[in-house]
Amino acid sequence: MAEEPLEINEVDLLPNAMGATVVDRWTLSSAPDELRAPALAWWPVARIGLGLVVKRRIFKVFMGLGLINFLFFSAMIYFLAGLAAQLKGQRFGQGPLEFARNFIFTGTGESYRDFISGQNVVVMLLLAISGAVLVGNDFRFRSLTFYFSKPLERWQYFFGKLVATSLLVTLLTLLPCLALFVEYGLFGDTFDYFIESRRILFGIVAYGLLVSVGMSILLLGVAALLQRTISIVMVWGLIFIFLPIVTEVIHEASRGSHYWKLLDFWSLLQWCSNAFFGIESDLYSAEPWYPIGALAAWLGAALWAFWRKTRAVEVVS
Amino acid sequence: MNSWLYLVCFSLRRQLRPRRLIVALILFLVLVVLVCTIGLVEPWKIKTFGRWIIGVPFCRFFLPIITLTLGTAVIGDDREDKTLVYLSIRPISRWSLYLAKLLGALPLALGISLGAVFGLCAAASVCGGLPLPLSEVVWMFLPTIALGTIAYLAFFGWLGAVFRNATLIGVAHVFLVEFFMGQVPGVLKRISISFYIRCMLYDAGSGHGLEPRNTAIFQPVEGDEAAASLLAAAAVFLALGMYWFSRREYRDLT
Amino acid sequence: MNPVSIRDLAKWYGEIAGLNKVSFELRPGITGLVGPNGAGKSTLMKILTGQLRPSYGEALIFGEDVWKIPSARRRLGYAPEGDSFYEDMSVLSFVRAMGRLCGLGGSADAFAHEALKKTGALEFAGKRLKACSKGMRQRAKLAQALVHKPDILVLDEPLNGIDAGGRREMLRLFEELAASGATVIVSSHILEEIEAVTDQILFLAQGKVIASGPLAEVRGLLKDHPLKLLVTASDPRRLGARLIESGLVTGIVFQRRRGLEEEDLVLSVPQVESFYRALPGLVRELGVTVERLVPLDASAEAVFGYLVGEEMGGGA
Repeated sequence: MAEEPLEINEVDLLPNAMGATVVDRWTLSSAPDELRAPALAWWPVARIGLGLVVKRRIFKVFMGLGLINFLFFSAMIYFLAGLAAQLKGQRFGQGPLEFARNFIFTGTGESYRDFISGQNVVVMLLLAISGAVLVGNDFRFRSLTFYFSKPLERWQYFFGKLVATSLLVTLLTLLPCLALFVEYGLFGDTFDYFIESRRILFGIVAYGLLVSVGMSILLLGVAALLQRTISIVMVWGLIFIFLPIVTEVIHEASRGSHYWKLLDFWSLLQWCSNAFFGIESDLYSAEPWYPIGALAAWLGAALWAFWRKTRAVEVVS
Repeated sequence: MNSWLYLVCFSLRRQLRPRRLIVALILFLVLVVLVCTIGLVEPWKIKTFGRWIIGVPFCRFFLPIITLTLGTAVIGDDREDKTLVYLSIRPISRWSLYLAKLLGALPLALGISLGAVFGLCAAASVCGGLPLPLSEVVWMFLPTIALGTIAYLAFFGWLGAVFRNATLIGVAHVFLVEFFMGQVPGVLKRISISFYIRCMLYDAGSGHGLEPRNTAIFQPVEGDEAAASLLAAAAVFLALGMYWFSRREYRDLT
Repeated sequence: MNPVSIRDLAKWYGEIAGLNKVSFELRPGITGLVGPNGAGKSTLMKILTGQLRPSYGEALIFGEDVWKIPSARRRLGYAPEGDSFYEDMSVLSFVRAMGRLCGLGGSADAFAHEALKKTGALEFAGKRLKACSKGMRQRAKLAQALVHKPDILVLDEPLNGIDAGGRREMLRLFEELAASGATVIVSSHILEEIEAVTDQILFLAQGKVIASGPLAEVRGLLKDHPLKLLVTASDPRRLGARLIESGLVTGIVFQRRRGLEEEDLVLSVPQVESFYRALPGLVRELGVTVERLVPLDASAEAVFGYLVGEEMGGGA
């Protein structure tokens, strides 16, 4: 016997309305719990990004170049320690030893600051590759769709990329600098250097982190905006080579007006490094809000550019 | 011949990418602002204009960067976009394909570099004033910039044909070889193109006090010798680029 | 002179042989290129179009070495597999530019329009490639390969991204081109559609040509894989018994039709010609009605599976 067909009302099929809300996945707070990504979702993004950069041959070349500077400093510390030991008690040797110390490596904040600053060219080049590989390619080859089709928040994507680029910079700046600090202390006669140089250690960590994180944020903004390798490299060169040259020329021509140096990102990092290491400098000593504001403006613009460009789908007219 | 000439024009059009031109324009405008800012403080002399504008920011940054982006893009753009296949399957020999693409980039490179020099000289003439007529000042620097552009373009074009990451290698070359090695004592600096550009610059401006800060370290060569070196470098790198591109298989065409 | 001549062609990537002493000649018509991933299809196509230099042997287009003599490519059209274009160009300007690069001169515009019309891309000719769908881009790619009216067309996965109706149109186009005397080489994973239009198929595996020729002939050569035929008859048991007696089949499986009581016969037939000649007589003799006779493994896909299985060491 055929059953009578079941009458189905559409209303019966709808669940009780729970005050449905439009979920805006682009803000941080309104994603429902069941769609929220795990807290460490940024780590796979960082890990994959690091892997992409590290396996390239050119990365090894730049790491090699960066290590040259570190090895030079490291060798100098060893040389000076050896020289000091050899010349102990010999009056005539103290003059050349002091000269060598002052010229090469003093173990003061300036030395470590100069080491990190000396890595900046290689860091700049390394970040130019990273920007294109880690971020530019995601936009150009539309990989963002894959990321955001997963329950991955935009901030996690950003944070993952930031960690990846910062780690790369840290490999060339903070970590070798810490190694030099430890080496210098260990070649002393006592452990007093480590106790007396807490400020220096703070300076190394703070400056190293600022260089890593600050430059990475800037890079992410530039790479998201420009996407192509050549454009990223051009703008990167403009920020880190051209602007310093221009500001230096203006500085020379205007007989020392230092406000132009606010345009120079390197110069802002240098100011911060002096503050971290406790190095006295006349530049902006009475107006610290100028360089802080300029740095905040640089990083804020980069963050804004990155946030704006990060979409799963690019609309093409 | 028709298709080859069309390829030259096609390559020129492909180089006219808005983002690249905007960046070049921004660089140029920054230099103009620099010229005007300094010029309003005191009138320009050939010596200061030559050193502070043409010598350092222009010849050691603007010119290499512009020629780097255009030169490496000759082959690099098509490799990156994977459109080189559409050119390599046409009835055009490889070496002439490379030559056409490089020649397509040349007018733009010369246009930007020479136009920028003219613009900067004009800006200096208006803001602060120059001690010589504009045309004389422009003509003083024009041959240097023109030959420097050609030499750089040929070098970076070759780099683009050889390396996949030519832009990054080119940037490393500019900052490590052209920038730093170009300042070391001894003959080592003669491997850099910027050395010969500066020699030509100092030779052109020698009658107006434009000279190296330390002649003992810099050890310049005569202007004619520098010009010949730049032309020779351009010819050598062009030939190398054509040879390399004609022999090499690009497996990443698609 | 055949349009395409490949003689002892080998291509090495370091120690890996992409192609291993491949030789064949192609006449005008449609040739399908079939093989698993890594078989050497793309390598063969790239050598044929002058993108790669052979390590050994030669690839000739109308007697000319396509790597050494660029003018040989004038008679060649190639649609690569990749989905890369000059994205900021419109479809028309892209095809026209490709025509100009082949030496078309002032007539490039007319030729471009014609090529776009043939591939069904004229309606979106003004659209930027960046804004085109995958199917549109595929048609644009085909159009640039056709624009200069080449004698040889090499198409790498030309049906990718095209809908079913579009694929039928493309296949009709290939047939028209072949009928006009062109040599069309098509590599595709959609075997059932390709086999419908191809005159011959080249099967590649591990860098070697493992079989070539019309599909039916290749199938007939696979002695270790008797043809499987599905037969629907009014009295399958009697027919099956008679076929076994006659020795025309080497195996029978009675297969129940889904949800029904009736059975079909799945026969293993070693000698297809003999079977087809003898079957009508047997059917009349038994008074049985045959409603359906369908080969189950005569398709390119089946043949491909057998050939690759043998080549990979699976054997019969």
